[in-house]
Amino acid sequence: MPDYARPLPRPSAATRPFWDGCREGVLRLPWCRACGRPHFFPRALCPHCLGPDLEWRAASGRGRVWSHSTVRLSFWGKAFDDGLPYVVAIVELEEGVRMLSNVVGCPPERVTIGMPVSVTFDEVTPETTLPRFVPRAAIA
Amino acid sequence: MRDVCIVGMAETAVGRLEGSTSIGLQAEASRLALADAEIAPGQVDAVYNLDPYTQAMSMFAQSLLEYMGLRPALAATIDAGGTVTPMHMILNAIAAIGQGYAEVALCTFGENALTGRPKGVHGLPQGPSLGQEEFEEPFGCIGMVIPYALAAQRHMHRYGTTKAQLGAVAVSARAHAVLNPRAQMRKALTLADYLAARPIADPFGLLDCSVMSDGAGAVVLTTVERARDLATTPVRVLGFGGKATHKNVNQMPDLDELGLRPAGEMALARAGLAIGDADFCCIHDAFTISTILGVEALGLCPEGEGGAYAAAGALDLGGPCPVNPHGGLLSHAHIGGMNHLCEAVRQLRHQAEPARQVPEARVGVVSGNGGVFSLCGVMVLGRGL
Repeated sequence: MPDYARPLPRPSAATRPFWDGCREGVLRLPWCRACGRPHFFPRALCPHCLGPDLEWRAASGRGRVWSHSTVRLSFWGKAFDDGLPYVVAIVELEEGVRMLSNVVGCPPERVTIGMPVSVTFDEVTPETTLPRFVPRAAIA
Repeated sequence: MRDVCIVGMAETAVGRLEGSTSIGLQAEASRLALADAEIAPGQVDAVYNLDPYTQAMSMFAQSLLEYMGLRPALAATIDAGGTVTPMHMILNAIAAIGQGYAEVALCTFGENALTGRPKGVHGLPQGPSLGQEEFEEPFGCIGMVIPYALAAQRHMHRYGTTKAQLGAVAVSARAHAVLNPRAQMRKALTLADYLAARPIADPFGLLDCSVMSDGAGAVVLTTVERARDLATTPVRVLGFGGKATHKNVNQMPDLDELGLRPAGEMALARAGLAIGDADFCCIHDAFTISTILGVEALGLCPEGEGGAYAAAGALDLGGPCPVNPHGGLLSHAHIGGMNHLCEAVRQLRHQAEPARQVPEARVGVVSGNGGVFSLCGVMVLGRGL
């Protein structure tokens, strides 16, 4: 892991609770106290109403694949070479927001739009845990 | 407001231009466009350009005017995004000239994207931020190929679009490029060649992706009054429409909510025209899916039927409305959409090679977008005053 060469998130004050949650094994979303809606990606204000008063709530961690692509080439030097092919997916969470992640735990050709998935946490460095998704059937 | 028109247009050679620099390419296209307009460089009083994607540079309009020895009243680097940026340069030129702040405006983009990027880097290099750092890049969604692949996969799922239909877009663009002596990719392409290309990010293979190019294009604008004294056939901006919805693919709305359709409706309404009035279109085609979504959004075919439309040959020269008669970003060159605008001007002046000139073209529709269908723009251009 000290040789982890792939890009890592650099959390800001507005996003740190999300990444801290991942390290704790909890997928958290920011909710707006003014309009009552969640959003993703996390930011310092609500993109629905510009309300600055946000609270973090644990999400279900469940969703469905909205789109996906099996990537067969490393776009970051050679950093992804040892993981090819891998699946980039946009997942629509039950809370109604979409996030970009990976589907892991099944062959890429099995991933389909609409597939039910659940979050899983991948500690890629001591500081960073990435939320990825696995087919829900695989953990049922 | 004074009426404004395009009176100068030029492109440099495109392709692999060893030793070229972004500023040198922009200066060359600008020099040629001014010569084409028969306007002296000293009369340029507005300069609009964009710095290279391969190497972000500050105040690049000032670098260009310094390089060219120009001393304009106005200069700005405009980064609206991707292929919509040249349209925003032209909008600025129309505003500045129309309001009397300038008489002659020069708009240019180009870069050494092919030879100037770091070795071993695919697509855009890791230099300029696309805003993907925190919520896309850690998951291996880097650059523009994967975001467009996600859009294409969604289109295939929603509408049944096939890989062969994506391929029809690439084959049509190449067939046009074969007829274009300026094009970067001039070897004939079959659907079998397309299907055999190296897979990159499903459903895309190499030939779903636009080329990386060294090259530049430029246009020169002035008042209609001034244009009457020039030898060139002027080209008018009959209408423009735009719509932004997001930046990165993780925030992209679904395909039927993208900004290209409202942008096109706004542009055509402003021009007082319908899409059936277009003699040809230059549609953003950074990836094959872009053309399919483009023909749907502009109303050339119903939503979801862009793949079948392409496969039926409707994009081709001789079809109902030829799309990208220069070969597009897929096979002519990717110089940030400036080549789409230059080609539209060329077609409207009836200066394309006979084999690919759209007969008696009077109206052309150009579409562009930055990001992944993020900020969309459509410009309607017309021949003559």
